[in-house]
Amino acid sequence: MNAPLSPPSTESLEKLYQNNFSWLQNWLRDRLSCSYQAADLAQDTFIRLLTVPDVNGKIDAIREPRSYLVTVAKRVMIDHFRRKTIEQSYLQALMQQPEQEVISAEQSTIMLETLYRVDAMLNELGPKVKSAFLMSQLKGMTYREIAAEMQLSESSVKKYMAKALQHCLMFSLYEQLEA
Amino acid sequence: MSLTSGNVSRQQQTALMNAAQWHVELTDESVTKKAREAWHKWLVEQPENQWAWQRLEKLQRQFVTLPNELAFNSLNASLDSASVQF
Repeated sequence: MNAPLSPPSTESLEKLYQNNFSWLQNWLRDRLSCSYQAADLAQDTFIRLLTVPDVNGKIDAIREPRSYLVTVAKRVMIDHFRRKTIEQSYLQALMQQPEQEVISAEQSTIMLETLYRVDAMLNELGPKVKSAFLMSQLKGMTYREIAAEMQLSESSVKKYMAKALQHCLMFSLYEQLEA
Repeated sequence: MSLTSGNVSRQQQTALMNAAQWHVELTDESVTKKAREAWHKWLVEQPENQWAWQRLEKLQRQFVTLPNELAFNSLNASLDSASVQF
């Protein structure tokens, strides 16, 4: 799913890893109160750095590498919790499904991956725009119905919809370019 | 019109923005025949528009594959957790 991890040189990143991995792990443990999770997320933070274009150049230019690490680690944590929330509500919804609609483990995995992707795509939209978009796309509600539900004018709903679609189109385009 | 250069032309961007607007117009329950004709005219106007419309249809297909209620509940839940602070 991720881009191939083969930056030309990883010297600065390696040094950053050697000097700060334990420190980052401690920083994360203080916030997560779980050392296994802290180790995983510290690892994920460095994996994410590998995907940053010209990461070594960036690291060299940074005065405070630890505050940069913390910024990236926070994003990794937020994503981690978002995924967990989706996973939990997905499992909860799954359990409420009628038995004849049993979903296989493989289907579940694929569906969760799609949900993570869609969630990441909608992540940057404001809550109102996102809600309107989900009601239209997933519930098949008309613009008038959404307007009534959200106590907005129909033209506002249409504006939100256009905004959400435009954002998703650009997002999926750049995602494809990076892949 | 490939995107291998990693750049999206201004025309392509404009076409994507317009495609989104058109989609909203066409999925409005009170859409008129006139609007449909205007959309078709836009579509055949230039290849960028057809490309953008295909991108939009591809995006739509992603949502169609999701089980509605399940996906709605899951994605809506993550809306509430988006404000987590550390």
